[in-house]
Amino acid sequence: MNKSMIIPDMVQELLSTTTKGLPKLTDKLCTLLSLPALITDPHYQILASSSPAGEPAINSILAVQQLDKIGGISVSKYQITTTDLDLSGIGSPITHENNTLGYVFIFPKDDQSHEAYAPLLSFSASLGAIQLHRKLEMRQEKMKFKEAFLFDLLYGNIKQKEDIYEYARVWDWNFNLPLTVLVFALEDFNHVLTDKQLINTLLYIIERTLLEVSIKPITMKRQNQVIVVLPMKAEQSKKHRAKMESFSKNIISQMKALHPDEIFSCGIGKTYESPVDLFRSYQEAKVAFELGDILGIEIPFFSDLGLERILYKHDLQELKEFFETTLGDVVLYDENNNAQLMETLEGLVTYQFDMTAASQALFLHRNTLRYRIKKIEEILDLKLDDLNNKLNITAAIKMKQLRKI
Amino acid sequence: MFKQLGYSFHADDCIGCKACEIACKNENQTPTNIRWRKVTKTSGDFFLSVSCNHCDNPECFRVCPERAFTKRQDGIVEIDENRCTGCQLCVSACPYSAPQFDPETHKVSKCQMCYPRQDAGLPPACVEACTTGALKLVDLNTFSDPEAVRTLPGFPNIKITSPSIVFYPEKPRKRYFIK
Repeated sequence: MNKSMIIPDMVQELLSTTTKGLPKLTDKLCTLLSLPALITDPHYQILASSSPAGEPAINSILAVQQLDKIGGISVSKYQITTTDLDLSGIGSPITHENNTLGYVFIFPKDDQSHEAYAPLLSFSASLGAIQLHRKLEMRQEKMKFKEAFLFDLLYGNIKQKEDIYEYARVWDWNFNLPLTVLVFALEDFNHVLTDKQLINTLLYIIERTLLEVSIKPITMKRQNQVIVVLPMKAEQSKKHRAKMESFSKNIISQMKALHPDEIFSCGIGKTYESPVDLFRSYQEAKVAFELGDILGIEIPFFSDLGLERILYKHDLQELKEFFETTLGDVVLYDENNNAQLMETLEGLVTYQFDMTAASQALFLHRNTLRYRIKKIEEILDLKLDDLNNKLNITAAIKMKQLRKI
Repeated sequence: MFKQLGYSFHADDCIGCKACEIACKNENQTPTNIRWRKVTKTSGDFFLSVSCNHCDNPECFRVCPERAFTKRQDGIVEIDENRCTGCQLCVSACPYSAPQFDPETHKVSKCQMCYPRQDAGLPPACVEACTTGALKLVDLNTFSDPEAVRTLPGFPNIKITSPSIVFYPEKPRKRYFIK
């Protein structure tokens, strides 16, 4: 009865790696067997690889072909093609509750010894299953914290770039590319259920549109907003702005078609190389959104609103003085003569002093517009073809549009 | 999950006793020249008690070159004084003069909504000290009251920053005459 229960040393040594990660497991397998060992994910992407000293390491797999099964267990022969050579070895799937979590491979030197290694490989697969399952659980747990991570990212709470990359890997987000934040929002939002459903629809449409163009959505809901983090692919750097513009227009038109009574607007921040600066892009997108709302710009870019931001924040009294000295006489003339010359000036500024475009937009004959401009020039005692005068008038009109005057 | 803590302020109830201001100073031991909370009398003949409004779009936060500001998940905006270089960009960017520069330490500090007290389950010192209950703490993610307004005359422009404060305006008072 006093039989001693022998646990082989090899099993003990392999078991000791269970808490140390997959690379330790392949290292141990490699040392014990003096053979290359490899663990991959279900799509044959290498997770850990070890080779005995003096042998080339296996860093990438081009193709994997399953050959005959060995015995009654799940171990099979495999033909693996790497960038440099063709390898024949044996492998076992790493499974947990009928789900394949990955594969473990070893590469014996001669074909005869394959069967001898099979039980050990099967045991290693079980050890790998423990580790991969734990990893999967952790990943699922982290998914629950997606919103918390995005909140911390958008409010600059994560100061280290490496931490951001680490978290982003959980959701397979590529934060190595330059990123831009776009904010879409519903105006006059209330905490009522219907408004919350509208935001859910907005989020759904944004995610669907992004998936249509093969971009993994990085999105977050926040009260009346849906925030989108858009990566910029290197080859698209010149078209990035146009793409963002057409994407935003597309989203807003889809929402308008679904809910014609509601007002949806957006704002676009600047593009930043580093994810630690992403919070700036988010704040900028919100500033662009607010100013775009005041100025009636459909797709406002923060980078376009430099003058507007300065004017909006500037001291009101000084702005009033500037407006008064620049356009005060025209306002006075309008009041006394009901001439609506200010309207003409606003139209001219909107169309960058282009006579043809402005006359069409204002429903005025070109000559009538020419006459009105002449009148304005007379009142102000300046020439409108002088660039400095144009700049002053543009600034004054912007002040008026910003509801400062 | 996320909160947006903010203040609610009843203009009618504030009597300008400055208990909030003193409680803030006492709790946070701020230097003599620093006042995180300020009580002022507006031209509309009522008082305003204003501190950092822990904005939804904090401008201090956007302009800081050192990334010294953070926003907690309960909405509190705080500054890491170790990162602050005293450039004062935040001081000029904030419409409410919330970040305050201390010329002695060459650092900026601001109201942190007494988060150590809040973490211990207590209200901020200013809210607790308010003698008339004019100043209260609310979660703006769930707050909804048709009587509350976003701004009052005399309060700086709220556009762009979207401050986490709601106001109850003054109600027109009746006058009674002795016959």
